[in-house]
Amino acid sequence: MEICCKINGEERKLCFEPHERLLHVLRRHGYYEVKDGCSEGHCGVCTVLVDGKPVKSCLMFAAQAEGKEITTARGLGSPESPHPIQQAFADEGAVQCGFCTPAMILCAHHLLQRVPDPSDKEIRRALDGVLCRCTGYQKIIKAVKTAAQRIGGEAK
Amino acid sequence: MEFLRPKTVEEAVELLDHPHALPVAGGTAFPGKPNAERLVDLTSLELNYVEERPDGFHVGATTTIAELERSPVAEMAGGYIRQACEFLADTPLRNMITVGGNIACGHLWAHLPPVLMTLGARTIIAGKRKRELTVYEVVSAGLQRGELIQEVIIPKLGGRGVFKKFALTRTDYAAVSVAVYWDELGRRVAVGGLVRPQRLGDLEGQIDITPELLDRAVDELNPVPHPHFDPEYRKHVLKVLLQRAIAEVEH
Repeated sequence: MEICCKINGEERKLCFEPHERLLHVLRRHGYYEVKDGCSEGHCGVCTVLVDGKPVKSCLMFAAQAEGKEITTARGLGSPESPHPIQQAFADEGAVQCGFCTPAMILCAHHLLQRVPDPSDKEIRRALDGVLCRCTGYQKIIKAVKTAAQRIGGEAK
Repeated sequence: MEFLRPKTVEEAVELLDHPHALPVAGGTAFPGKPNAERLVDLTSLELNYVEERPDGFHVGATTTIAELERSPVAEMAGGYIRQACEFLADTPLRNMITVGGNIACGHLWAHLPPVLMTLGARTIIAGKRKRELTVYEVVSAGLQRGELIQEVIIPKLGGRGVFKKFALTRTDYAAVSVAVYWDELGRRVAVGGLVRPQRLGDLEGQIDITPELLDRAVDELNPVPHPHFDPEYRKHVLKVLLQRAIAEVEH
């Protein structure tokens, strides 16, 4: 079957089998920043934003993306022009193997959109759907705080 | 296989009346390729709402847990429903899991059924004929072919509720869960996690919960095997959580 949706601001047509989940369809269409970890909803590295909200793309049916706006980490910034959250992750050493990073950044983005100056507790809860097996999370939490400060500074 | 996206409840009911049809919404209950010939998506039915009416809060079946948590019904009875939503899976999953799915899938670990049972919530079931079932009836007997939960009606109550769970991590499946609601008319108790969600009537009539009463009520339960915790351990945890929740709610 075929659907139309917007991915990172671009109109796209996606083709897939009716039972397929969004994760596998996105990767087949070249969105490799969406990672395939467990494929059963536990690890969260496949998280994308659908109409601005983080969801696990390994469980969402691709057919449900019809008419939706999907954002992957690539949609936030590029190596030449990174988003402040992406820059903060690099500066704070919040990236080790990098496998969870796109999902962490998208969850952090969703949090900072709603809560510009989050507490530790709010950051931990916002990231609770994504597993990181390298960092122990401390540097990731620090990076989200740094990003919040920088974005807040820009706004002022 | 086919994936169909009906726009009305009537259309969905018709499409679900098929020997190998599966209703889907959040999609979280069955990873991998579903064992069905027809997937019927319920997320275009406009059942995504929480409305306050004279007979209670009407919650559409495809309202997500994240939306429920931010709605006024979550704050009723001392934030009772908010407590059940707070660590119901994790943030991305709460944007997917629906109220109807959390009830209809009949999972032991589902947070909403025990809470809704103590609040006396009813479900409106769409099918060839519309019917009303309690949450316990849906969880224990399931729905018939061609049926779906359309709406949950939660009475407006002025008491207090406490939900507690025990799991490997805060966001993991509940290995034990308890829901206690209390107001001037009395106490209502429900459990889940180790058994199919159900009320514990033995603990509802008495004012004082003696250790003997607690033992009797819990020892009757027959826990479903769990990969990490043995049945006796989970029964012990259940007694502790029940005591804490009852003390907290009636404080």
